Amino acid sequence: MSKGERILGVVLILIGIAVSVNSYTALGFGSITQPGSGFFPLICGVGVTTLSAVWMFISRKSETKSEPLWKKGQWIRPITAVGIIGAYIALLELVGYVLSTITFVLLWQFLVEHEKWKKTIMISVIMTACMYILFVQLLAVPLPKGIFA
Amino acid sequence: METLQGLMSGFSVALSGTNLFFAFLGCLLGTAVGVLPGLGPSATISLLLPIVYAMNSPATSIILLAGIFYGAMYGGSTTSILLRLPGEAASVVTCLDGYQMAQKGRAGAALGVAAIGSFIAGTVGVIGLTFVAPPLAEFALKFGAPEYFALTLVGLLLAVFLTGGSRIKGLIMIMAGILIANIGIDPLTGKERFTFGFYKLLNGIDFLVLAMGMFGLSEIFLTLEEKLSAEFTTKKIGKLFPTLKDWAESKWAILRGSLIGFFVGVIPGGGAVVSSLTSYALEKKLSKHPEEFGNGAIAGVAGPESANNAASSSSFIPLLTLGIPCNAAIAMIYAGLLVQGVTPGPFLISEHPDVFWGVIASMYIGNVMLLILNLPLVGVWVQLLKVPFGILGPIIVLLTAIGTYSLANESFNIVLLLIFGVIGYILRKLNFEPGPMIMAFILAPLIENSLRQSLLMSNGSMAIFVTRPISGTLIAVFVAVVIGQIYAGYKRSKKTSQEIAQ
Repeated sequence: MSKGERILGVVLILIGIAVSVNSYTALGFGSITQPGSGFFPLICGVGVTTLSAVWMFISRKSETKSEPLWKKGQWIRPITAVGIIGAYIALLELVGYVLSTITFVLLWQFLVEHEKWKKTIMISVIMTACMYILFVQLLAVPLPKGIFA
Repeated sequence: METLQGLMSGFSVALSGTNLFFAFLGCLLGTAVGVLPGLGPSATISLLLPIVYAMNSPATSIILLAGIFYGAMYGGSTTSILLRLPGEAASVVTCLDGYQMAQKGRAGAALGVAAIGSFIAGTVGVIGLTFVAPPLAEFALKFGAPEYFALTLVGLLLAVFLTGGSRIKGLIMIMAGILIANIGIDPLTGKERFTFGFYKLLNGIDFLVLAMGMFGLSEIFLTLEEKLSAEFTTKKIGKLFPTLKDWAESKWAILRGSLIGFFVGVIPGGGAVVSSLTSYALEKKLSKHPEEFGNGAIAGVAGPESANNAASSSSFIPLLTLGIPCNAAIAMIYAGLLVQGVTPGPFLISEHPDVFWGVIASMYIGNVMLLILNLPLVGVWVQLLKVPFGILGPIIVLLTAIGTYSLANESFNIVLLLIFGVIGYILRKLNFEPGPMIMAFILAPLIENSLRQSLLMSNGSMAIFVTRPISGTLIAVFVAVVIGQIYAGYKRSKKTSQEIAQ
């Protein structure tokens, strides 16, 4: 069992316990003839805890397959992408759709794809323009205008 | 007779200008995502759901989404044969013999037989759907709460037990899916469940946010790990039409594949992947020259490619008659219909005949469109692979972001999307498949309400699920399948331990 699997197993067990306790105490189990709000979540919470524990127990010996979650440097591009999407969300309401989208594509091309500056700027402008025409002009989706409002 | 009348009315729906256009668009998009590795039909349907949310014709939207789903089965074979890159999961097995045929200069024959087999099987599947669905829907009218509980539960469990992945992980994903669906106000008691004080969670989490995160975004993160470099070997494709000898070798494989696909497709979790593997194994067993399999046997392309198309047609049967989606892509189509106020199930045929018959008729038309799109234009589709992921990736991210934002003009939804994307990414890295979670999420209200109602009916006795004939049979079938699986697993482990001992 790899380190990643062990962490996930423990997290799942803890979530299951938290759900079960919350279902039983706050939501209410009800009775078997008149099940309450907590009845079904309790079943699932207990289920997640039990199954995760069984899973950890069964696969505890499979040390042979214990690979790290990421091979060397493999995590860099996905995690960068997560960061850029986070920045996009933060910017969206603040500066509006157009500026945040162009920033997003610029960052993506530069940090994730390592494109050259010229190509990066070209792709960003074209992509943002296409998205704007498609969603704002054609489909009339109300997107945040930000500082242009 | 009623069936034929229904089908005729379906054709009048499907042949209208708008619906023809959307069927074509669906087939076109489906073929494109089938060709592109790293973008499956489930992810694409989730990308298009926001547009469907905004359409106000349920028939048109299901015609579009269905087109993507069965179109992907056609497109998947192209890259498997030419580049040994399965465009989607159901075409993995086609790589074995299809690529070998291409290496021997017979790519055209492989592509031709795959497209023709797909067409025959797809049509056989739709014919089966046409005649099986109406009586099944009528039968399902007798179902009460206990039957629905047994059916959804057995369906979900079969989806986990038959897909071949880890069962225990699948079960955990089902429970997790139900718990995510429980977030928000309990419709029966009005109590808040798991909202953590966020008022924005009171209405629960939208299916779209979960589906786009678990399938769309997480797929991007997974693809970013590898530097994709598709190598283009501009091989000559050769003649597209199979010779008489090819045809003689593949016609029975196509027919057997169609039948296997049809029956496997109806079973939850069966679907396209399992059916293509089953067909490959069967063809190898029946062949007079099993040694040719893996070295370019045409039956090894014809059988599986037919099977996955028949399965994609027949997997609409449980959706249209029982209201049970039996795989993740169908679950998304289910969600698309729900948003438009159409609940798939036994009443669909009488309440929304335009949806029921319209989509079935469009599948006949779509299969013809796909044959035309795929056979002569195969060279065009291969060019699609030249679109670099550096362009495709950010476009998909932007589409998911706008799609979830536009649900309620709420950037909180994009935050949830990103959270589910990261969770999905990690879960998929650890081999937890998101399919069962998506299915459980969409079925959760049905399971919970039918369980509560059944317990009210029976005064709290669980025996109600066993003593009523239909639900009792369902549970018996499930128990039989599980015992069979455990027995098969036991035999296999005994065999391997014997092999090790020798």
